[in-house]
Amino acid sequence: MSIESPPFPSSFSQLVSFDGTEKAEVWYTKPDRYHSLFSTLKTAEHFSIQGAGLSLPLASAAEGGITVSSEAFNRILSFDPENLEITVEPNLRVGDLLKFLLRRGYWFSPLPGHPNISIGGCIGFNIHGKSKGYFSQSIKSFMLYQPDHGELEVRQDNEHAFLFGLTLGGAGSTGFVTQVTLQIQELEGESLKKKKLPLANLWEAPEQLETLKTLHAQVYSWNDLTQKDRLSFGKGTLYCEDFSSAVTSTNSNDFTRLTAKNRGHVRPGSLLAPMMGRKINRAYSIKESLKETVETLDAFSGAFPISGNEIYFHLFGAKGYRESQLLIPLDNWKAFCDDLYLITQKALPDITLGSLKLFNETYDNYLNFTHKGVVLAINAVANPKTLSYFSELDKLVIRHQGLPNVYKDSRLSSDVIEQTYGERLHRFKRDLLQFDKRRRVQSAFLQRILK
Amino acid sequence: MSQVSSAALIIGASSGVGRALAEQLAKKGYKLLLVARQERDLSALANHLNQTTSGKVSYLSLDLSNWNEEKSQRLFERAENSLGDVSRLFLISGANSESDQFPLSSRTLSSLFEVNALAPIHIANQITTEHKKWKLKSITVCSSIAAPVPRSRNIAYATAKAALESFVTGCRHYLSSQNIPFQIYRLGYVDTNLSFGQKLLFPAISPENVAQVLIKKSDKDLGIVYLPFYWRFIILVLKALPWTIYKKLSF
Ligand SMILES: Cc1cc2nc3c(=O)[nH]c(=O)nc-3n(C[C@H](O)[C@H](O)[C@H](O)COP(=O)(O)OP(=O)(O)OC[C@H]3O[C@@H](n4cnc5c(N)ncnc54)[C@H](O)[C@@H]3O)c2cc1C
Ligand SMILES: NC(=O)c1ccc[n+]([C@@H]2O[C@H](COP(=O)([O-])OP(=O)(O)OC[C@H]3O[C@@H](n4cnc5c(N)ncnc54)[C@H](OP(=O)(O)O)[C@@H]3O)[C@@H](O)[C@H]2O)c1
Repeated sequence: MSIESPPFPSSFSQLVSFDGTEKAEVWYTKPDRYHSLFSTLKTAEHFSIQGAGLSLPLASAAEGGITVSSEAFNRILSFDPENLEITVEPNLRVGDLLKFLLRRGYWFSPLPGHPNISIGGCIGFNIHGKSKGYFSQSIKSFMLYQPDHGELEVRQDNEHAFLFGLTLGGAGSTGFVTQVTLQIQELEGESLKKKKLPLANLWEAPEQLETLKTLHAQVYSWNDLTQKDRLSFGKGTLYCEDFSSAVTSTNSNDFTRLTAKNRGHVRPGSLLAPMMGRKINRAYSIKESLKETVETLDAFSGAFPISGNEIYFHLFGAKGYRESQLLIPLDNWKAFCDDLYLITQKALPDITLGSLKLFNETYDNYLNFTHKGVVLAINAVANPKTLSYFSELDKLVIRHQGLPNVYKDSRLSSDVIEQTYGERLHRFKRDLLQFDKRRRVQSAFLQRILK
Repeated sequence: MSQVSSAALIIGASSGVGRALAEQLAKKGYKLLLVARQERDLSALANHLNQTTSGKVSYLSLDLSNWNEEKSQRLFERAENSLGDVSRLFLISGANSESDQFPLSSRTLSSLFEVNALAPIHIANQITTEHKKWKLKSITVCSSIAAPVPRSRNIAYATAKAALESFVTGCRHYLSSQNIPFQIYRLGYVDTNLSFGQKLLFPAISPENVAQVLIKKSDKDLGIVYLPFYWRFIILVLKALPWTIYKKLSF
């Protein structure tokens, strides 16, 4: 990629992935009007697109390339409560969207874990919510600008329908989404009731999750994977959430404008993270045990449990952390847990978080992390121990015919993706190349997975 | 800024300082008419502000270059229809160009002069002349630190801004008995695309901060103001330099 200064306002800057493990020096540009956005994209031979820049892997930068920020395009263009539709620009943050809707008695789902994530980013990675649904299910249409094709309206029922699946989870590869029409819902209650139940270990979790899922709107769990005893490996808490009409004393509205850069700033405690895997799990367990079994949260806080608890990410400091998220078919779950227990005891990695949810729907769209099965997420301190542990996880996911989440794990190789996604990866490469012969969108993420 | 006079015309409202100003005034419930060239940006901003604030925002897509009677009529008819009064006039627009240096083409010279000086001067002239009709309460202008210290680069821009300052000072003189406050801001570096990526000698101020100051001070008759304030001293020093030294400076 070119390292010459491009002919539009730009600054040569270093961008870092949210997990802190990948960096790139790029020409960073922030077009502030549509005509400058289009002329920038036309002029740049290759470019990356940035939303909030909160992706764990480096999905909006390629070394020496041009990163086009969508920052200026963060507005609500129209709101149509009668048809339950809202049209927005891609840099609107999901927290700002939710604030707008809640004030008017509406709701949107699925929502990712942090309010500062952008709508464009949710499209790029076809994000999934706490336990139900993925982003593409709530999109009615969008406008996509690709310099060789111009601006196209994409709907599931028009001539550009093929771009719907290619863009949702396409990591920005098809071009710049300029506006999106979302399907909203009427708000079922002012607050969220969150009920906690104990969970004995990892093996038993899916049955409990399955039963609870029929009774509650959202069900997920926190699991302690630092437990050494097999009987309690993955023990933790099950969370069941439902809307409620109860009035809450809190009414959170504002949120931290978390960025990948400020996550890594050294703060008191940052240097302790590498030693804190077990202790973070203990501390969380104690914190949870002190809370009521049933909590009522205002809808905004309920939607974004991480909001206000960003200290968790800051603790990892500049070296960062790694996340692996795996989807395992229900039938293979117990055997997978047996293997997971063994490799975990052998490696004793610095795991800071384990979490589970169930996916019920199958939507085998290219590299989307959407299939029936149990989803396990693991966070660990970024260090060599974690790297070798995660490569053991790669072997497990292949052995148990699961899927790794390509959008969460910055070290996942194209080889592992090939072995797990197979034909879906080939189709993605082929269809993308057919649409964009010059492969104009480039990023460290796309370069790695499409190698 | 008093809430009584709550209609404002913003020339150059689609990005940077103008956009930040529109956002903050709309939050205060102002009736706004936003003017710039690009319709799509103006309509996105107006729709957003109408959805998210108590302001009543409309817009007009108008190119300030080649200013003529027809453009003037369009602007003021629209202002009358959507605002009623123009109690606050904000002349924010500005444009620069890579080719604004010697050898300077007459095309660059004319177009920069039209956008940065001629059109805003025509608008200021009409509003000043008809100040009673528009129930004018204040005029705020964005100039630049380039105006008082011309150099070989950005020369057309600096000359145009100096002309605008001069004309608006004349308007201020004309209306001095009417207690209508004027502020002409000589802005230093502002963190917008006009300066993004350039090697700057001093930190850039955010457009939101500029907008905040513009709103807060719009009831005060300040004349020429430096923003950030320290530019007053820097410009004072630069102006005091003997030509033998000034001519050697590269800035
Ligand atoms: C604290 C935290 C919690 C999270 N919780 C969840 C969760 O619950 N569920 C989940 O699935 N994920 C979750 N994630 C992951 C996150 O939702 C995704 O990584 C998301 O893509 C980040 O969006 P962003 O706005 O930061 O986009 P970026 O990181 O800037 O971009 C992400 C991708 O989208 C593309 N993109 C952005 N804007 C556009 C556009 N306008 N047009 C075309 N492409 C575009 C980019 O090119 C890039 O490929 C979480 C991440 C964090 C840090
Ligand atoms: N940024 C700085 O560092 C800096 C420093 C000193 C002084 N200033 C001055 O501060 C003011 C605001 O600057 P900014 O940085 O906010 O600028 P900006 O982001 O470039 O905004 C300029 C505005 O003027 C409009 N405009 C430009 N040409 C026009 C034309 N021909 N007709 C109609 N509208 C036009 C633009 O909209 P359209 O493109 O849609 O027309 C835009 O709304 C300007 O007067 C500038 O000269 C800026």
